[in-house]
Amino acid sequence: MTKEEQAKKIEEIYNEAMEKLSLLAHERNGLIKERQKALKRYVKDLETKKIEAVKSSLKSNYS
Amino acid sequence: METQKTTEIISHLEENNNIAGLENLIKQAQEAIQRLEKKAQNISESYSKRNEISQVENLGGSKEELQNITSPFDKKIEQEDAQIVNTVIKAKKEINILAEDNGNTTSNFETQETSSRYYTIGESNELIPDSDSGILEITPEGNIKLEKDKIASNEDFKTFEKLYDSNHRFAQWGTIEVLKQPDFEKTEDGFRLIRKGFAQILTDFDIKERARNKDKIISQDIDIDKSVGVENEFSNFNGSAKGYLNPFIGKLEIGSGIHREDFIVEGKGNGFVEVKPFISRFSTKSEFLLYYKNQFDLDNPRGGNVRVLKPAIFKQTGKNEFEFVEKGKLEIYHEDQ
Repeated sequence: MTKEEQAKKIEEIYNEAMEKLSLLAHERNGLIKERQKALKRYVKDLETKKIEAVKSSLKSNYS
Repeated sequence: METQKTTEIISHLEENNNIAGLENLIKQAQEAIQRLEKKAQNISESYSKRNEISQVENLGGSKEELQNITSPFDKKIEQEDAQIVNTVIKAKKEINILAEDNGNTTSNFETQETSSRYYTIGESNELIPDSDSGILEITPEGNIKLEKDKIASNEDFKTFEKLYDSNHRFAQWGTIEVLKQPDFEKTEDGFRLIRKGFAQILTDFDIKERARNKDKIISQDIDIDKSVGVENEFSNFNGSAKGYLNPFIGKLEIGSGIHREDFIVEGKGNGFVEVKPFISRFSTKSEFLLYYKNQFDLDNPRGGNVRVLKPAIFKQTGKNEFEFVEKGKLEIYHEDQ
């Protein structure tokens, strides 16, 4: 293999790996966003429950 | 990467019979690897989980519920991270093979003419071609490896021990990780094993732990605390003469989890360790440039016997975590020196 062929081959390997890394980065970011959404839903749910609990506590105290 | 430009430069230098042109491939390979490592590192930056548990608990939720919700995502992200590391390792191996293919590499098997790729080991450590039940394989790149890369039986472990030393006193199942290849010499009939390599066997747990810890500055895959006989987690080497007497082969993991495997690590007290290359010879200049230049200075790098004038120094900052302190110095010498 000539030096030019070696250099070209290295470039091909590099470009292919970079492309794959970009794809994996995209997938990873998607997963992190999904995780954040799931976490927010859970927190929102907990907040709603807590508000309801406070409301019912207030009602029982003042009724 | 401006490879087209690099290609033109190499072509020009070769036309002018400029030996420096041969070095451009190495530089190109180094640059490619560095960029891939950097990109992988950037991608795999940890996402923040800070205060999640306390936030949830303050709202009346539980840690267990939180984990039930987040762990499926965390597992998938871990899998992505493993793929990221594997992508870089694979590309790095392929690039290294190309960059080191300058016609002056010293593979033991470059003159191999037999059609068989599979061998067993005879009583005098000679390699016997055996296509039916060979336990060793010589790859097209000239590397030798066990045909199996996992150990799943006592028989596998016995075969493993024929070719590699390890820290495992008893048979262990898992994935073989070669830290130092065995050495062979050419004989009239073929090849003979003259020195065993060094390898470790990773369990699934080890592999998971490694994926989790890959952002450490430097980590030791061999349990450094056990190796130096110190019990406390944040050990230093003061408390153990054993640590001074028993240097061990370690894998240095640098930055993004891409590493060079062949180092000897030796405790020196006060939490400092000395690090030396395990190999005693560079086959090419590129071997130094690709793997050792960040830890060692070397005047006029080239292939040849390696002498350690001064080991590199690292300081232990936590369990399995080390910080680079000071570069070492190497020298290339000839047999008659």
